[in-house]
Amino acid sequence: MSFWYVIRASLVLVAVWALLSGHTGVLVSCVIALALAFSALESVALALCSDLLWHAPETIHAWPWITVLALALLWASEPIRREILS
Amino acid sequence: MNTKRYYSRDIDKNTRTRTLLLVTLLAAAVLALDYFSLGFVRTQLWKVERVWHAASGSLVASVGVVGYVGSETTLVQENETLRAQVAQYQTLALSALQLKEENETLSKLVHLAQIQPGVTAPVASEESSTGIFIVGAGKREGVSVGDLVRAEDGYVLGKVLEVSATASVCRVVFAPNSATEALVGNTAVGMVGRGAGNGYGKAPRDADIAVGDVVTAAAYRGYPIGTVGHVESDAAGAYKEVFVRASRDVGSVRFVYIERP
Repeated sequence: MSFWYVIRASLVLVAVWALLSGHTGVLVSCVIALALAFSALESVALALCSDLLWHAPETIHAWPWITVLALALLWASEPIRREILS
Repeated sequence: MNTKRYYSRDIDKNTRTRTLLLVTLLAAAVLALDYFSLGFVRTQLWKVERVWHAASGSLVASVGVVGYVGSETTLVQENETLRAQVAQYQTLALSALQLKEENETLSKLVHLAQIQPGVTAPVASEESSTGIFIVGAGKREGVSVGDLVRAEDGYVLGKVLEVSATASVCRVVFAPNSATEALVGNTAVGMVGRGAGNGYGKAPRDADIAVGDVVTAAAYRGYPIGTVGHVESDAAGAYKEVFVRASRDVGSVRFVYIERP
């Protein structure tokens, strides 16, 4: 088990904890770190869950900002990742 | 060898882009489903979260660990209990305030009852546009047509017009277009009602009438029916105009004293 794999798993665990305990700052930081450093798709799942859990049905028209942020970071970092891979 | 390696990486890159596209579409689909189902997805997620919180709370309690999760769950429960208590106390405080006001009003009405026989009754309606209102006492309580309806300050609010078994229809003193022979100080003034507790009359120019003077009427057994609110006099005119206001609006009175003759 590599060092980076442990870091990635730890970030996911911290994000899940932040999601359930309502720590927005911690969760957003983890999502950004996962999306940028690992291009991790689980960041989208975490962001989606936070947007759905933290908004009441009355605010259904509110934008899912954290999901948008996670997807934007993933798509934005994709060309850089392609360059590095090639 | 190199060609094969690059070819393999291209496949990886394409697969990754496709996966990312799939995830994006999936996220969009979940959000769309939630949006069009008016929050169905988030409601289901909340249920899962509640189960998680309950499970984690009981687990922490069972092992006796006072950790973050445990303290948070306890705080949430405590917060809900306190909120419920605050709501309960607010309701009780409002009830107490209402009872206090009722008590004060009824105490003053008791004073009236000691002087003149009658019955205390709740006001069951506001004053209508024709100056009519209803009180919650009727024949059963001994109310009869012509009885006076008085507020707790002793001022007359109106007179009983019709009586049923349990309620009475009354008319306010200054009902629209009603005429009352009133006395302001020592001056007799013919008052015309204008509704909503307002009356208007003309007094001789030299009459000694000032704002705040109490207005009484023989038709109401000489009890006060209002106070002078405004006086207008024209130097060239033969009269001065007197505007009278009833002491209370019927809408603001909760109990009245119906005085028998």
